[in-house]
Order: sequence, then structure tokens, then C-alpha cells
Amino acid sequence: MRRMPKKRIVIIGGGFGGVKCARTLRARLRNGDAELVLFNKENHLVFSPLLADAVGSSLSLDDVIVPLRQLLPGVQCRTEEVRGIDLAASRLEFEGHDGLPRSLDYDHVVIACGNISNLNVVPGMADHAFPLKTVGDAAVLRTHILSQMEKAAVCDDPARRRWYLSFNVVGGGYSGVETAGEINDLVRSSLRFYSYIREDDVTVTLIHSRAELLPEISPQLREFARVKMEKAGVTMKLNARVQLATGEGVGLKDGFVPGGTIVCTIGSTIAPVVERLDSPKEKGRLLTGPDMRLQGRANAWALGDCACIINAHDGQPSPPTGQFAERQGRQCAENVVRVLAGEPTRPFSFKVLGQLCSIGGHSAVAEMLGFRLSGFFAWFTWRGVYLFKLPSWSRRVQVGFDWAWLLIFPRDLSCIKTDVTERVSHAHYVPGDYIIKQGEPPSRFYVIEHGEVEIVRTSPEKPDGEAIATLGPGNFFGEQSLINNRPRSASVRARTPLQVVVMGRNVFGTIAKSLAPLREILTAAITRRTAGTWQERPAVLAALRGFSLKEFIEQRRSRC
Amino acid sequence: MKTTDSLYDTSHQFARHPSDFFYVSADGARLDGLITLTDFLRAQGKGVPPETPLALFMTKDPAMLAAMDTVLIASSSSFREHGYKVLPVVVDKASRRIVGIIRVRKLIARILAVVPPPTGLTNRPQMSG
Ligand SMILES: Cc1cc2nc3c(=O)[nH]c(=O)nc-3n(C[C@H](O)[C@H](O)[C@H](O)COP(=O)(O)OP(=O)(O)OC[C@H]3O[C@@H](n4cnc5c(N)ncnc54)[C@H](O)[C@@H]3O)c2cc1C
Repeated sequence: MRRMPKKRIVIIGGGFGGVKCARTLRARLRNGDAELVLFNKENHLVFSPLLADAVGSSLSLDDVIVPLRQLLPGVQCRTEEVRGIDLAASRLEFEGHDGLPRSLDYDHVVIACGNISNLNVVPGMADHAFPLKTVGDAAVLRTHILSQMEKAAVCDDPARRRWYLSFNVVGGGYSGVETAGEINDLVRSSLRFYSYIREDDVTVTLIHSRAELLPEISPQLREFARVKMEKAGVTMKLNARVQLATGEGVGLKDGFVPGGTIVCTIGSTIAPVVERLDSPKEKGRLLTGPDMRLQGRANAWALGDCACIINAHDGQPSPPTGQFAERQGRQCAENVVRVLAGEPTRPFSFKVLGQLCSIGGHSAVAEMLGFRLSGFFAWFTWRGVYLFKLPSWSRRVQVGFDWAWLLIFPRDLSCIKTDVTERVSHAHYVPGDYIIKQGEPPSRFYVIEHGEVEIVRTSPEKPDGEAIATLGPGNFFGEQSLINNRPRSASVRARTPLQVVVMGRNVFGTIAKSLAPLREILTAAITRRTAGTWQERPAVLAALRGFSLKEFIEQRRSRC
Repeated sequence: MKTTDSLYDTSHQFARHPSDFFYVSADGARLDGLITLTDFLRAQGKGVPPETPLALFMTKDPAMLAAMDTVLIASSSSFREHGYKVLPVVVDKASRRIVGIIRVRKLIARILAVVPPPTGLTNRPQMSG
């Protein structure tokens, strides 16, 4: 290859697509020819098809992630979140380790940031359901299932006990089927350790809006999967569209399915950085040309779940699967190398190798290279395929050993609580610092001594965040998530220099329980929280006087 | 929605329309109440039977503003004291003919846009909406 000036190639996203792209580029380009930088919010790659196994404790959490630095020698791995891409200036912006904005120029950028789960598809889902997209989601769900079993084991009321042990999984695609199968296995295979719980107290329901599960595989294998799962104890609700979710269960068009756990595997939306990008899109996914370059751009590429790429093999848009993301990663890297060498690029083309889906009970369904497999052999193949994707032999042997161990011995039932040593302390923040980030697990309660914070909530409609309230001295925050034991529903950011008193969750829980007035204040605060205390400030009252009501009226439509 | 619509009808409306509340009116013009997603989920959580009419679990006689009001102080105290996220606006409080609504978020966003932080803020927060 001709010698060329050193180029900087930046990849955003360390999922299946981004990692394959980085590995291929590193193999094809010498260090002196190209500097490779990969941004990924986490420092590991997640094997999402194995997340359900981690939920069901048939794999440990460590086995479903691989550290990016070990996977990608010769690539600079960075964990900052990319906030924006200026395609015209070939520059990307990200938030530095200190929260300050930074930028990096590139010669080529590859956008491979996947998609994010969106529980807002059904009313109530965001409040009551568990998503399954990250390894954190898997850990939280696993802990929740085990704690439901612990509660059921000591519950005298049979109806409540059944409710604790009723698990509703929404969505009959790969992840829904795998998750329902794994939860069913975990709960039923562990019953011998819970003498008080009977087999018929347990219900695992898979709810799917279509007549058949797993639309991607052949009718015979679908039927095999359904029958096998039903035999194992999973209740199927097909042709059933979930209309709402509550703390008690899920509402369907023609009934209500009670249950203390809802797992939502449907609904996804594009990553905020893609949403902000001014480039043609198809249903939110970045439209690319046949060679995976963004339309009208010579040095910006997109692949994987965030891109809409036509497969030259069959003329169809590529589906959002790991298999396609990997193949696109490789072919995109080869095209980048061709462009650097001044050669013509090639269109993306891929013939699907096969489909694999685990259905629980050490069983799977698979279609590979024209063969159909089902049962234990298919399951073994399924696991083997992922084992061989691991980066080194030492890692494969370690994970393989874990798998063999868990095949023979019972699943791990320990329910790890992540509480850290508790204390009451003071903390200081400078303006712009985040005290709480939306989506984090709850751990602390804060009382403002000096300064002001603003509460910022992001949503698919407002990916940059919307300031919904400010709080000043004497006010407090962080109580809602602690009381509900849910991830933080909004971020809290210092608006001015800030000093707060910080209380760990157990200290907070003990005080809130034993001190009736505090409990009452907290209850009142939770009900009026969205009202905000912003109007305490005289400047706010003055501003309010200046606004006219007319400016704010949203005219009535026929419905709402 | 009508006061006689059931909890079941309400679930359909929320499932079909991306809204977090509906007006409730017996004659389609006069405001009798509001049904918010919170009212609805609370009723579901309590196990209210699906055939129960909306009148029994909606927010009855919600705080409202008359379109004639020119200042917003009244609305802000309603938002604050009652924790409302939306307030209906009617032509006048006697006829209660519905004009529209105002949202607390819009109000807060405007306030944050015009009111400077008290002291020391170097990074002006980014806001949208
Ligand atoms: C539970 C589950 C089961 C699945 N089962 C299967 C299966 O059996 N078979 C199959 O083929 N597919 C399966 N999939 C789908 C498959 O995982 C995805 O299609 C695949 O991961 C997409 O790869 P990707 O590289 O496009 O994105 P992802 O793997 O989603 O990776 C994107 C990465 O980009 C990072 N990122 C996003 N935005 C930014 C930013 N602004 N800055 C820095 N980093 C950023 C994210 O943190 C993430 O790590 C499953 C998915 C799930 C969730």
C-alpha cells in the first residue's frame, strides 16, 4: 500500500459494529498510517444476546462483557460520551472527564452508536417495567427477581405470594423469548431451596402482539420453541397487545395480567447524538449510500442499529441485529481503507449465515447454513458461537469453565446489594457539576445548604434535557428514587456554587421511618415536586408578573 | 371524555393518544374535570373495576384559570400548592367553557430563560423547550 500522511479515524460506539470496524482497521492499517480512536460510554463490549443468561444466573455478569482495551490493542479507547458531530467541520464534541465540553478533529468518523431502549411506547411502562439493554439492566433485573423470591418465601398471604412470583415479559422477539426462558429456568430450578414456595405459585408469562413468536425463523422452529417453552411452564399470551403497565401488572385489550415484575423488551429509539445529527434519516436511522457513507458526505460513515443500510445481496434494508452490525463493521473498515488508498468503495452485501435463539432449559432453536437445529445441541452451538467471539484463549477457557460449572451445579441465588458504607457528610460542587445523573441507581439523599440546583430531565423528545425546576437553600432532592427504589428519573445539576449535606440511603431510610414529621414533609414534597420552588425568588415573581396568560395557552384540540 | 366513560375506556384513550391527560365534559363544552395519567394509574393500582365510571376517579373541579386573567401569579401558586402539571383555561369560571390549557413545564422553561442565576454561575445551563 502507498505511504500516506497519518489519518485520524474516530469510531463512535463500542458495540458489535464499532468493535469489528476498529479491529479490521487496526489489522489493515499500520500504526504510523492511522490513529484509531474509539468512543464508548462503557469500557467494555456487551454481548447482548447473552444478557438474558446473566439475568437467569446461568452466566455470571462478567461472562457477558469484554473489556475494550483488551479486545482492541492499538486503538485508543475513551469512555466520554460524544455529544455532537459537526460533519461540515469534521469535528466531534464530547463531555470531558471534568464535565467540560471538548472537541476532536477527525479525517473519518464511523457512527456505530446502536439504539437505546424507549419504555415510553406504552403508558406506565417507564415507571413500572425493567428494560434489558445494558449489563446494568441485567444486574438490576436479576437482583429484583431474587428479592421477589425472598419476599415470596416469607409471605403468608397466598395471593400476594403468587403476585411476587408472577413475571410478565413483554415482546416475543429474540430478547423476550430468551428472557422469559431464563427467568422461568431460574425461578423453577431454584424452588428446591425455597421450601415454602410451591411450583404452581410461579407464573412466567410471555406477551406478544402477533400470532407467532420469533418472526425471523421458520414456522417449524417457532412451533418447537412455543411447545417447548409451554412444557417448561411459560404461559404464552399471543395476539395480545399491552395497553398499559401499572405497579400491579399489565393491562391488555381484554384483561389484566397481574405480576410484580414486568420486563419490557419492545421499544427502542435512536441515540441522542444521532437524533441531533443533521443528516437524512429513515425512521430515525441514518440513511447511508450503498458503501455505508452518510448521504452527501465523503468522510462520515454509519453502521449497525443506528443506520439504515440497503443490503446489496437482496436489496432489503439490513435488520438491526448483531450479525449485521458485525458484518457492516468489517465491510465499512475495508471501504475506509479503500478510500484512504484512493480506490473505489464496494456496496455492503451479506448473506445471512443463520439464526440462533436460546429458549431456556438448555435448549435453543437454530437455522444455520440451511440446517435446522433444536434442543440441547442447538443450545450448545449457540453458546459455542459466542464463546469463539471472545478475544483471547485465556478468556475463552475461563468463560467456558464457568459455563460448564453452571451446567452441573445450581444457579447462584445471592442477591447482591450495592450499598456502600454509610455516612452523613458535606459536599461541594461548582456550577455545571452533576450531583445526580438520570438513570443512575439511587444511593443518596441531599439537602441544600448554600446555592441552587436545577432538575433536568431528558426524554426521547428532549434528548438535550429540559430544566423542569430549580431548588434553593433548605430544599432537598434524591428522595423519590430512594423511596421507590427506582433509577433516578432526572439529573440534578449545580446552577451556582453549591454546598449540600449528603445522607447514604440507609441513614436516610432510618431517619425517614422513625421521624414522623420528616416522613410527612417528604410525602408532601413528592406530591408537589413538579410544581417547583422556583417562585420563591423575587426575580421569578417579577418575571411572572410580566408574562401574559395568553402566551402560554395551548388551544384545545378535539381530544385533549 | 365523558363522565360516564369507564376506566376501561380511559385505558384505550391513553393507549391510543400520546397525551398525559384528557378533559372530562358531560356536554362536550363545559369542563367537569380532568383525567390525568396519574389519576388513571392510581385507580388501576387500587384495583378499581374496569367498568367504574370516570366521574368516580377523575380530578373533579380542577383548579382552572379564566382566559380573562392577565397575570400568571395565580396559576403559579396553583401549580405549586397542588402539584398540578397542567391547568385548564376556561372562558370564565361561571360557564366553564374550555379554551385550552397551560403547562407548568412551559412556564418554568420561560422563567429559567429570563431570570438570571443569583450569583457565580459561569456555565449558563443549556435549555430546550
Ligand atoms: C437483550 C438483547 C438480546 C439480543 N439478542 C440478539 C440475538 O440473539 N441475535 C442478534 O443478532 N442480535 C441480538 N440483539 C441485537 C444486537 O445486540 C444489536 O443489533 C447489536 O448490538 C447492534 O450493534 P451496534 O454496534 O449497532 O450497537 P450496540 O451494540 O448497541 O453498541 C452501541 C454502543 O455505542 C455506545 N454509544 C452510544 N452513543 C454513544 C455516544 N454518544 N458516545 C459514546 N458511546 C456511545 C453505547 O454505549 C453502546 O455501547 C439483542 C439485543 C438485546 C438488547
